[in-house]
Amino acid sequence: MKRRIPPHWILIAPGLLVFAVAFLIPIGRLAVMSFQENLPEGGTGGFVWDHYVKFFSDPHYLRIFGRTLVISAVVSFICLVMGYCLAYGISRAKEGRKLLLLMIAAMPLLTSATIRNFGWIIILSRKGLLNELLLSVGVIKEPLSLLYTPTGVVIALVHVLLPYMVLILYSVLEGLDRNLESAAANLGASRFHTFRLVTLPLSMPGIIAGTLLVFSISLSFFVTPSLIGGPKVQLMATEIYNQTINLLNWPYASALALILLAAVLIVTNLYNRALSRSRTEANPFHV
Amino acid sequence: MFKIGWLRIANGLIYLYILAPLAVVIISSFHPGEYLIFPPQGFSWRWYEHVLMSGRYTEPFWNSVKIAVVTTCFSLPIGTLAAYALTRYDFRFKNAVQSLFLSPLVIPTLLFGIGLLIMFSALGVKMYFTRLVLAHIVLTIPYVVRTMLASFSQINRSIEEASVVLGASPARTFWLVTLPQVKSALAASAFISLVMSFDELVVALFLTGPGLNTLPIMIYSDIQFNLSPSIAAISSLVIVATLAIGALLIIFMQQRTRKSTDIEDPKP
Repeated sequence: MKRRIPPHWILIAPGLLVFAVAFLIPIGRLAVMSFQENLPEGGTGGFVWDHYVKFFSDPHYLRIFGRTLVISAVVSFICLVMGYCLAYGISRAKEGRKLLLLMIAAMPLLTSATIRNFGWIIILSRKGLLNELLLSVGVIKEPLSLLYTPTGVVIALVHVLLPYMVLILYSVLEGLDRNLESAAANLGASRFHTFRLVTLPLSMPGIIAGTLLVFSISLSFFVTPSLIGGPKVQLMATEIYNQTINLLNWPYASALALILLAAVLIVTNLYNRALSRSRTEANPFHV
Repeated sequence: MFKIGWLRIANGLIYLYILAPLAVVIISSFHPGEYLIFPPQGFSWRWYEHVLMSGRYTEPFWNSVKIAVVTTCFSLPIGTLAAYALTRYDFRFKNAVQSLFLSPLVIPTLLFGIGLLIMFSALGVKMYFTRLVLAHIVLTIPYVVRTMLASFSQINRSIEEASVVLGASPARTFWLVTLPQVKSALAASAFISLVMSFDELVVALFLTGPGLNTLPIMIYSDIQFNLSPSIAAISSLVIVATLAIGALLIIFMQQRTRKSTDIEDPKP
């Protein structure tokens, strides 16, 4: 007698097939290649550790990695501050306005990062909007050079990632039991104390989750460093692209990509833990 | 609770920051001159005419549309069936399967693109369209699975059970009872999948080749090497089109939820 295949396997079979062919195999192939010798004209040879040794012993690459970590950390912090202000404001807005405000905050998600970065190029360039504005007001004497600097990358990258932060923080702040705030206020706490001792601690899971999410996305973000940073601000993503497309050193690019993946996975793992903790602890007053 | 006035000013500035780049792109697209400057000196539709007539962006645009549509034709059914299996059945490796389908959200697209490039060139696959669509199917499935998982777990299972009890086959029940209940989630999934694929740049940079140019690649390379107001014009068209489709979708979904709440709770 023929055994029947369970229906759920039939339902997920097409997905598994696609993922095996176009996801698991290519990533496995990349992992293998990161241990292969790089031969001229795109050839690959036997097993070597060289690419990893090269990365961890060459200050040039370590500096790129360090710069990536620092920029990602700065971006996450700024996103957190701005995102918190926005999410707090939206969660306290009148019911009818909430959806509109949330949509404005999330709208950039609908337009590609390339187009939004293009807007930043117009604003940040030497004769751009920001410089003209600041010069005419008299704040600065010389035009600032923001394009092709880490500052420019941070400004544009925060813009790309802010919606994620707002959405996460908003869902946490909206889910808070507002009676706790009223209770604190009734018991004589000032607005600032209520915020610091009640609202802020209760929204901590969202703060952690949002920050880690933004951090992990910005670690590997390519478009902004490529367009706004240019060759002067090398980050991991642009260096990996450079190794793949311009230098054709695929084994080294693979090793760099895997190192980046390791960093991203560490952050994502922390994120998942923070998220599962937030589900059990976000509202300690409801079991 | 901070003083609301202080927070309002800060938030006003942040909203300005959010909208500024999009507004700047749209405004500068009306500049009549050759060079991209802001604010524009004058007003003209010249660059829109250029974009629509010159044909520079026409082919990349249609390529991107084709890729997005074909991608969605695969990722929507594949993701929906997988999400259905994950909500309705309990089986071994279920969590592993679910994590696998969601994992492209975590894996940097850069790494995924290079992996595919290595694999396809080792195999000698040069069908640029096919390999890009395959990559986009993988990239969009997580969004479909996530949206549909949430939707399937919300609907009332007793209606499905009733249908089976009344003699409908599981396939018929799925088609006639289950799917109509998740229409708006399907629409949302399709929309996300279309937009994601249409806007996707990184993987496309690795996988396209001679003869296949997509709109994001065209815009990206023009920003780097060929800065002119025509980029602002094509970008504005993309922004306006995406927002219009998004707005239509929201209206559609709100009507659906209004209808469904009417049935469940006739009282206001």
